[in-house]
Amino acid sequence: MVTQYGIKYAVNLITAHFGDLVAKVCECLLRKGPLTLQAIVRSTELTSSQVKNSLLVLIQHNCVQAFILDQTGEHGDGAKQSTQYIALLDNIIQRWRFPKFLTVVSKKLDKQCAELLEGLLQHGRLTLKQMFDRAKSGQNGGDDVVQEAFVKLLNAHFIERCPASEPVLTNPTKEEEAARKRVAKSGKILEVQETLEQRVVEAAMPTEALRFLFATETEPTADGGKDKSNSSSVTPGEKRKHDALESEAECGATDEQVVLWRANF
Amino acid sequence: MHIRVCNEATEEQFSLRFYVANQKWYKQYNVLKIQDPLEKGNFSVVLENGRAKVLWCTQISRILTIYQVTKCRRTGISPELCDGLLISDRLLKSTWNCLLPSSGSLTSTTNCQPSQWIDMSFRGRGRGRGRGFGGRGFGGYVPPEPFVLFPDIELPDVKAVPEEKTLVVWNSRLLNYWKASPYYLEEHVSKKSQSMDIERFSDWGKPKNTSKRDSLNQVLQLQSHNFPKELIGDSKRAQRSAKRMRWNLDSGLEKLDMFEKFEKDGDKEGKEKGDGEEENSDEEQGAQSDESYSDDGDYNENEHFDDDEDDYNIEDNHDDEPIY
Repeated sequence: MVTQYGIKYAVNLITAHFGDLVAKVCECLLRKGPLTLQAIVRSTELTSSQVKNSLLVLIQHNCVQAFILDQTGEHGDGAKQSTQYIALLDNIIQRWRFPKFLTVVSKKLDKQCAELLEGLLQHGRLTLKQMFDRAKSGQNGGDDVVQEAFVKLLNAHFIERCPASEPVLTNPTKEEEAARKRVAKSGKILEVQETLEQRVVEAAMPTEALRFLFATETEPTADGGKDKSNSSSVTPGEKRKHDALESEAECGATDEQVVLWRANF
Repeated sequence: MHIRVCNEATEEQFSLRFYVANQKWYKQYNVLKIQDPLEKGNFSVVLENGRAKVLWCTQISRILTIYQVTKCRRTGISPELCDGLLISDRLLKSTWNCLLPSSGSLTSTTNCQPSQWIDMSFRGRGRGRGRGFGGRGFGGYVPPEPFVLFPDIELPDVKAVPEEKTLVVWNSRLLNYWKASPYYLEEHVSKKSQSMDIERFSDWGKPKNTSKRDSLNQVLQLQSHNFPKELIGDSKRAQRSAKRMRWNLDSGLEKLDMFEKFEKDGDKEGKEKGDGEEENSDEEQGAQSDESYSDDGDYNENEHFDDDEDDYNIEDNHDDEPIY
């Protein structure tokens, strides 16, 4: 249940971690609910670039989720799709428990896994390549060591794939609206917000089969069925060589599917 | 309270609470001692006032060993909450009939027929123990203890908290990283506005506003499938910065320390060399070495020296004008 003290606590956390600018945007979303970019700019009286950067930081650290609300026109107009942003209070409050997560992982697994998880908690989301680069810069072992730690964390479900950036939500049906109207007025608003947040999170979450799936490079390409479902970088029906895949990843094509991973909490 | 009885088979002990009733009123007796059954069907109960009473019963289904009971105070509990009822047709009679409920509820007390024992092994454990516990709570004389406002207690060892120390260390590491990371957005003045201001000599000592953080573009994967398109904006933002991300922010600080050390060492060497040269020059030049060696750059070279003359209002000596 969202209380005023919960919102205040969440805002204090964001202020301590990311500064006043990001905290202002976060507070606006927590108090006013899901908003579009223009609405946030108007409410916070910040510049558009400041709000965009703040939203990027919050999304990167899994504190805000963007979604597209598919609104059908009332007078037979075409469907309007506007990108809105919703703050995830539970995820924000969980940030205070990051040291505990690291302690648990260092006890249950090993130091390498804890350092890898620390990187994910520091940056919110990272690709595997970024994890390798970070380990090299910190002299925390080679790629093999990092990959081994990564697989351990994944198997223990301590990390997961990041959710979709802009899931599409449709408006509730008339029956659902009628059911909501029967609820007491005082609790109506809260119920709607919680339901929307849950819907957004569920819509953005990858499927259970994909959430903790990691396509290793040693997987045989002969097994076409598995390969298609496992690797997110292979378009179904197309054969790609291993080297070609690597070269494309290194070039960093802008629209290439690069899998982002985050801590699962 | 309570008569404590024991099941011979399981040696389980539980207590009974008796109310003593006569024709007119109920009275709870505190039972001090229960002796072994004198004979089949009878057992004696020693009450609080020292008098021994003999309970008479018939149809004993099972003989139970009875132990000494503890004292209790008189309470206002109704007979229905007790385990049994001691009935006498006359006050202060020596012989008492004991009524014990067979199914958990008290049987009629008006009937003076002798009671029937029930098999105590089927009695509820919790009920008996609960009553016993309740009885111990109510009864039992506890000597008053002197009240101490702040009693001495043993505090835990401050240093014996390794888990909390680890948590604090992790927390401070994370906080320090985020404060120095590109994710910590500051409301600083843009570079364009800074360039409009003239840099004055007095500004040299002031800390500059230029941040030493990496930019967000270096770390964020600004692709369309990771972030909403309206946040990524034009293609310029989507291109990753050519600069490499500094993953380890502490390494930058260490490098700065190294450079400072080198500079200090360089200054020391320079001074030593300078001193050495001065000594040599003293030997060679003598008085000319009075001037100390200073490295002021081009200031003393007088190549671009400006003696603060007003270039726009040059004083005219009127040498060109004719003399009237």
